[in-house]
Amino acid sequence: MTQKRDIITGLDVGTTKICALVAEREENGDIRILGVGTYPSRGLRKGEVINITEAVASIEKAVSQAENICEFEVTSVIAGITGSHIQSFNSRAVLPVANPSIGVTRKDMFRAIDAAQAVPLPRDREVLHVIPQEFSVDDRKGIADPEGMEGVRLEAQVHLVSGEVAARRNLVNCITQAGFEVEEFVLQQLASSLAVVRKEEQQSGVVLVDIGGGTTDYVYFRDEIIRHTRVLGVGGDHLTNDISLGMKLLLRQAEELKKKYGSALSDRVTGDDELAILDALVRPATGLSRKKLDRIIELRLTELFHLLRRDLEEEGHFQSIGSGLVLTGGGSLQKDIAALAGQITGLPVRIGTPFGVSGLREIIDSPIYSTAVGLVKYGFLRRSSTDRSRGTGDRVPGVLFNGIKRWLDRYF
Amino acid sequence: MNKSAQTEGVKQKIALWGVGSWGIRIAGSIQSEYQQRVEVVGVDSDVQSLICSSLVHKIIIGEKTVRSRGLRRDTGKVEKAFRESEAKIKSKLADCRALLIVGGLGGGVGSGVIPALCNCARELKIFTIAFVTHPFKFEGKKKNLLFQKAREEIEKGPVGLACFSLDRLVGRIEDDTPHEEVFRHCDRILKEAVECMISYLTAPPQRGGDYALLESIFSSPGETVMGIREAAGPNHLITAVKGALSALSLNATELGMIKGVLLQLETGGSISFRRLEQAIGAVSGVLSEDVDLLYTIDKSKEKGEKIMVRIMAAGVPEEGENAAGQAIPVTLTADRPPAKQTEINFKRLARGMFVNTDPTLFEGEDMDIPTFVRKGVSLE
Repeated sequence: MTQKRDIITGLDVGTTKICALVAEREENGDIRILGVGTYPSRGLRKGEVINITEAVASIEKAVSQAENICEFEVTSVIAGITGSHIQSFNSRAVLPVANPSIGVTRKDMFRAIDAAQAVPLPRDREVLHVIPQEFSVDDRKGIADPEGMEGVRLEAQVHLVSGEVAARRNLVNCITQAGFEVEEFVLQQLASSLAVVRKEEQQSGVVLVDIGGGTTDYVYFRDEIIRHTRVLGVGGDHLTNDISLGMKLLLRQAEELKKKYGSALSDRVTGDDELAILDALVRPATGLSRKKLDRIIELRLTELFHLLRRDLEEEGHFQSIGSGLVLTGGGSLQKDIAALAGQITGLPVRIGTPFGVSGLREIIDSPIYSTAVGLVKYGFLRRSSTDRSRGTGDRVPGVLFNGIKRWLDRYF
Repeated sequence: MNKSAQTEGVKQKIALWGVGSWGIRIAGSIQSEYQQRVEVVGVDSDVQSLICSSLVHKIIIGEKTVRSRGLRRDTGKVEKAFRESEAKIKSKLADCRALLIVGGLGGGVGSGVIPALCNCARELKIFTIAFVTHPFKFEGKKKNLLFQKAREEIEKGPVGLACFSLDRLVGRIEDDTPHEEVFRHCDRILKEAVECMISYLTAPPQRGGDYALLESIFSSPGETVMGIREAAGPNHLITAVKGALSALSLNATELGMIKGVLLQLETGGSISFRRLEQAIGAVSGVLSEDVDLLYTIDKSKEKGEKIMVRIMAAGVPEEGENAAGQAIPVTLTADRPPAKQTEINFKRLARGMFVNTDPTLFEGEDMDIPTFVRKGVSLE
């Protein structure tokens, strides 16, 4: 009898590109990439669907490419979700321990988590993720697993991520119309963090910054716990738009210039070069100043990292970032971006590429595949958790993501 | 609460007491979000309603007198039940600086317990505001008489009263609106009103906490009305303020008769002084000159760049009457501030590929406009 293959497809529906990645978990637990498909994104703006027909066609083409490489027919996907509509906050709830004589039970823990997530939301919003952070039993704080501990009062702290119902439904419609079922949505930066952030970094405090075309998404970890997430509605497209308006170029010319010559540090160039672009059918191809180009990019990215720094300072996290920043996503390929981020934040910065998977490494060894790789890693972790909970008869919270294998392992 | 900031001998606690099954439900819906700021307590004579509630603090009154059942319009029993549990109640209130009470005055537990609780708080010199509802007219004269009696009892002492008329709350509903929807709407208004007050009472001193003025506002005779509106995008503050004013559902004459207003702004972003000036000007511009206006700004990351405006206006005459119970004279004109001429910022039109999308706003700046344009940096 042939054993059923353990295969998952991750679908990163981005503003500039759509990436489908098919991966298989082998018997020894290793994840092997079987197929990758990328296609320029149409019908999306700032991470959200604005034209369903165009978005459907792009999804179909990306998945079809991946299917052709691996000769596997994709039926369902785990999809990433982002957009300016995403909001997140921490919530807590305190409940009495049901039976103090036997201590805290898993049932108590789930009741406390349920109570902490019972936050009133406007009708047009919904909870996407409930991420348990830690527990307190009476006055003992910062407990990861309170099961069996004695006490009368249990407090659960969770990180809640919410989004607009309409934005998610539009994305579901696109993927369904393309012929695929959505197994689950995962916040993009959480997926990316699984692909590029290491456990030691999560322990000592790290911020994963995923710079996409339409948005910049980040997540802050400390003690292997997700402490803060945020989506900023500014991404690589804003750079292209700035260049287009500042240098009077078509958007595609601005994009070409940004990728080919652009740097995030304008003082790296002494003197000034004249740049040339290939696509010169409509506008002059010469007389373009490199200094001007770099200045536009530097101004925008400086503002972006200042916003990031200020948000982390206001949330009280900035001083606790031990491992610095990990930049990933297409925007992190901008030349000298890590140096600029380091100058502004004063933190060590590295560019994150996916790790922990094999197969097609020469293709996926790039920050642009972080989310897609993270999605498949998430899928396999989730599948393992569900299998374990079936064995014990325990429930798995409907919207659980930890981003930390430790949590999944400990509880399920 | 920051212990180091506490002054010895000064009571610090702010409590919210939900009375009766309806009051407990409202208090329960507030608990999860505000339990860090206030102690939420449920009070009932009916054990069943307390068992079903998720509230952490619960007080059963008159266990012996009513044997854990409801009090049902029996004022003699209410008094006895309250006296039985008075020591327990007073001890719970002992370290309270302010007490908010929420419940209905339609003849149930609330009608008996809320006035007694107000008396108790009065004796202990606790700043108190009761959030109650005036029953629907269709519920009959008896219920309305019980309401009047309970209200008169509350109004005897220096206790603030925010009384919401259920008839006014549902004044604009369509004929085919399901009844569950109507009750949910009433719950929401009461909940928002209490949250607005908690926000003001727990704000830093420079942004809230003028108890004397608050007491004066909510001691005015008449009803209380609530307007809520959320807005995003450019000019979101003024849009939300105007929307909330309109949601009060009052005409110009009624607006002119309001005695006091509590305005709460809740946002994740920051508000510039000029915008705040504009917003408060928009509110005071439609009110009479001697109205007391208090405002508070609440930071809420959840709101992001959106803004939520809540306006609670007190001292509104009952529908169809002025404060003296006479018919309202119709005024055709109301003094409004003259319109201001403003300058259009053409730089804001430089949005390029984002021209047809909602602006990406951070602290009032549209991030879709190139940084060099917004910061006025020359590229030459």
